[in-house]
Amino acid sequence: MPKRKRTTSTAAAAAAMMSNATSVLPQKKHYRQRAHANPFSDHSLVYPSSPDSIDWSIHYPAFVNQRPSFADIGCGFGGLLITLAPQFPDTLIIGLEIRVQVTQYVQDRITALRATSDNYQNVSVIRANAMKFLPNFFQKASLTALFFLFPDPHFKIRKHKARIISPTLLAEYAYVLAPGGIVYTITDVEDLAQWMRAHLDAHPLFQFVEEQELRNEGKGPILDAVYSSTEEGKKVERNAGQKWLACFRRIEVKRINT
Amino acid sequence: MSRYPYTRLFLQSEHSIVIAGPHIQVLDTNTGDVLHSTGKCEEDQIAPGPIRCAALSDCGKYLATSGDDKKLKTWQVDDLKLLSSRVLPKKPTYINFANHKDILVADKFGDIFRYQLHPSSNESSSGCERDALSSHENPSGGELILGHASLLTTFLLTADGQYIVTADRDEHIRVSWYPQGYTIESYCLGHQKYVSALHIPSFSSRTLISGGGDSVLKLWDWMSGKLLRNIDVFSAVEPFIAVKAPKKKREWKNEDEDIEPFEGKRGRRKNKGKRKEKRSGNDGDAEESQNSAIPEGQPGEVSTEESEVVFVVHRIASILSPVPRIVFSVVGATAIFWFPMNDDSEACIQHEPFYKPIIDFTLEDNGSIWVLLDADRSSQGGWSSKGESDDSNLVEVRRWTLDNFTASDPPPLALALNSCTLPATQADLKVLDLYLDLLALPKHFEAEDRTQDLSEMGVDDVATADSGSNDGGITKRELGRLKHKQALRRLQEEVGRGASLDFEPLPTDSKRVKSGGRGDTLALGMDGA
Repeated sequence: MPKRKRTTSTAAAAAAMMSNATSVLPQKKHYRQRAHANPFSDHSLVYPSSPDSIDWSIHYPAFVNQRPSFADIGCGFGGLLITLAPQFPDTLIIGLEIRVQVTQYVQDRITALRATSDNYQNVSVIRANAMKFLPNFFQKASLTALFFLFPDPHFKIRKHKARIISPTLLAEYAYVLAPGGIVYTITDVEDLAQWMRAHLDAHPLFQFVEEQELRNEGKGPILDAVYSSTEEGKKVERNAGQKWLACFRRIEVKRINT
Repeated sequence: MSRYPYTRLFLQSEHSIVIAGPHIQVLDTNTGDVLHSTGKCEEDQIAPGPIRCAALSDCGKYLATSGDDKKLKTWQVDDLKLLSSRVLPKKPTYINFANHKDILVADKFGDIFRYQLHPSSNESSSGCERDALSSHENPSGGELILGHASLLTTFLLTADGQYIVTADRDEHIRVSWYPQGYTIESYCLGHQKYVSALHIPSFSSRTLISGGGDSVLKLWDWMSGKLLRNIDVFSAVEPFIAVKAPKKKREWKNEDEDIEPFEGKRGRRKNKGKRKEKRSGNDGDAEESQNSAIPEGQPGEVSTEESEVVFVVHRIASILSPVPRIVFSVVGATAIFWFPMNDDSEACIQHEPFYKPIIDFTLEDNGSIWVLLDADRSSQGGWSSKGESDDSNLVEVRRWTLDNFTASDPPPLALALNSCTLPATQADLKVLDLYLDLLALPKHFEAEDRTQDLSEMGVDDVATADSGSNDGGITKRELGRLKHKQALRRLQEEVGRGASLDFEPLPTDSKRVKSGGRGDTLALGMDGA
């Protein structure tokens, strides 16, 4: 795999400032991987055959009999997880990421953070293909928040079917979300923003929520993290780019009997 | 002259329908007279390739068919008139009627579209053009009911028509509302391999039976997704699996016959000589052990081809008379299997041998079973028949007694089906390729993934850093990771609470094969090599 030269990454810089942890935190440059993964191919994934077979205490040794309620789909280098962890110490947060190296980085990062701090017991990461195996991880209505932050835009029309938001996949997201749960989406690609908005709007089980409404409900810290905690989010800020946020609430519908 | 085997049979009181390669025949059920046949039709009526999926409407008046040409065709059974032909977005995998007048088509991309039996004018008008927001090609304006991100193998509607149960190649069984497929009621999860057959018995409408690549059939309470029990079938079936999948090796691709490659290649070649996979356990079949010495480096030689037992449940059905039983067939197996449907006893799998690979079967309410056979298979190679039955029959009929079968005098329809066969060329039969599933359903892992996993081995621990699996030494980035790991370890030791913080209970030997249902398979983002 070709190595990518990067200027000092933010995490490494942050780590350098914390003299104590300097050599403990992993560096992104050791975990780079090309940004795309084909979600339809048979990766050599390890995944549970059903949510019942997961022992979450492996991921959260400090918690007993508790399941995650926030899931970051395509968590990348884990910026959102690390930001939210201290703010929601009683909520279990899981990141799903398909790229091996990147998952490994997040895992090493969490291990290091747990060793140097009392926080971060409530975050973990799993290598997974969320498009195929989300219901293998989460029980029906078990999540209260799903995050899709700066997903792969798949620009070509031919590749649109690989987008993480699609009419058919939304049924699975609605299944794992509890009624009232929130889907957070954000992107710096206008086309994709329209795409996600259109498909979520069209789905009977999701209802658009204004940002202010969520802030009124006390979800401001989450929204702030959604905007600016991830590597992509920071990159967009550096390039003075625009970000499109769209949040939706999982609603319940009555059955239409024909 | 070669002939087409029958791939599907619909029995009705008046008109019965049989599918053979690209052809449809309608026969008088009582006399066996061929009433209509596409074999006599003009060329343009016949599909260019074999019919892969077919379904009969509940009223028995309409037939829907499709194949690799991605055309959904509807036929009037009475006169075998082609009513409509519509282009499908993807290759179909399964077709069935729903609520009398809707046709549901499952495809390789994992979606289910609904079409009206009779195309309405606005259906065709939606056309092929895709705007920036459309997620699916939809050339014939079907209604997207639901979709899996995986090849959808089969589906069924519950008896009340309120739920649709769908199965895919990635072990999922999903229960959704119908037609509001966006609401998922439950998942029946627990299969370790592809799911290829589903059935809900009429006498136990809350129970779903599923089968596929696993050695068991699973019984579910489909409404809740709860697994009721497993029924071990593999040991009973394995001795009868006569058709095996050639082992998929990329370098063989070129020398394959000129079949259109279908996710790689395969062919009707296993009977030219084969070797059983060593790991497949008790391979006691005497016929199989002949070519044990395999010359290396001659992938072009068909006779050296390796093959492996691939288990694919083809169809599960149930019959009430004389007693409730579950009946199933397995791709490439030479027997029909059944067991009684009752809760208490350990299910005993019984079988009825037919000595030729069974393509499909149809049950009659009166307790008869019609079995479609790949009867000409043995004539093509070393596969010798040891049957006492008539070798050339494409169709066999048996009737159940309480405990077993009787082979009574074949009804006129069966006699007709065995005598009026449709001619086919060798090339036709190659294209027909009855055993596609053996190669298409099992997973094939990408080489790219493997190398990634390998490169990861070294960074995991100091002890494994020099593991031989690496391509000679540690790379720079591995070294970089190692440095941080060691620093972390030192820190943990200083603090004196080391072990409790190390949350990597890596099952070093848990590989890409999921070992069933245990928490330890869930290593944090870790894959073995």
